[in-house]
Amino acid sequence: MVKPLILVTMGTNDYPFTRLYNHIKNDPLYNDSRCEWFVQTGSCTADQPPASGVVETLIPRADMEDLVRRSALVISHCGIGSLNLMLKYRKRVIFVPRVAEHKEFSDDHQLQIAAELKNSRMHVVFPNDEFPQLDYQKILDDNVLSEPVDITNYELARIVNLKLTG
Amino acid sequence: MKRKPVILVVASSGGHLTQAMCATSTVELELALVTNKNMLEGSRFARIHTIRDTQSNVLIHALNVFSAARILLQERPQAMFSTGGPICLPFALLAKLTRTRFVYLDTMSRVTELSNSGKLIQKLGLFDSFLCQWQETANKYSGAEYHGQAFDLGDNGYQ
Repeated sequence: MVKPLILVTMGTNDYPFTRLYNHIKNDPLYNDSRCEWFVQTGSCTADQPPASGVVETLIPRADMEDLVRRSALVISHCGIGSLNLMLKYRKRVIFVPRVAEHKEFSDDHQLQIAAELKNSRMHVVFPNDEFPQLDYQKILDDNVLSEPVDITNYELARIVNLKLTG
Repeated sequence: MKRKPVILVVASSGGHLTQAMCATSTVELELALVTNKNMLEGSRFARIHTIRDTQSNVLIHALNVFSAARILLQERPQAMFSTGGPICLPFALLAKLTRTRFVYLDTMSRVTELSNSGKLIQKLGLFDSFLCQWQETANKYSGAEYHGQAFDLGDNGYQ
């Protein structure tokens, strides 16, 4: 049986996101070899590898897209690049916005965009919320969607093209 | 030989680049990219230039003016397009000085006010077109236009 893949992504920015890493490494499933983990940490130092899986700092964009496609659950910072991929592959996601208070970014814009998400498959962990405990059976039972949908706004693209070339 | 017309796209890696790729998806001219970390393989950009990144280090921004000038001499773009982050500032400045069209799209991630780079570009008038991805925020800044978001944030397709 193929192990369900849990993908963690902290994006490409230069601020470490230790709070998210600590939530993850303390989850029982992190130390449970029934799940496969891929943890992309950016500039965060990961001192403890998962029972099964890998930790990387940065990976090529195409590799990230392939990991998203294959994953049963994604745990992600609330960056726009990550959000775009998760919407494109209709993933089940736990978003953890970075906050300035913990020096996870220079400002709280990830909280603003998180508040705009109205999506039944996307759960946001706001700063005062408990990080949800992961449920193996739920992850296993969830139907993994891997076909992308095109979410590009071609109307905006048309206007940008006109402004650049018209 | 006549050069092919080029659009120079300036976008930091991650979300800025994602939005730039969506927003330029119907541009048929050749595209060249300036970014901070090149994590792309086999993209639609004909050439990719990397540049030092900083949020507020003035020295790096100053050095980047020279890097930007070198890239502009090489590419001689017909127009420039940027979604930020701060690496776009020297390009916006040089666009003004060289009278090259500069189209700026402020990132979708700033919901209630412009990004810092966006504020600076707007305040100094370093743009030919300034697009903001939130209607209410666009209304607050003179010259800012709203034409929707780079991609659909809604839950269509979700059950």
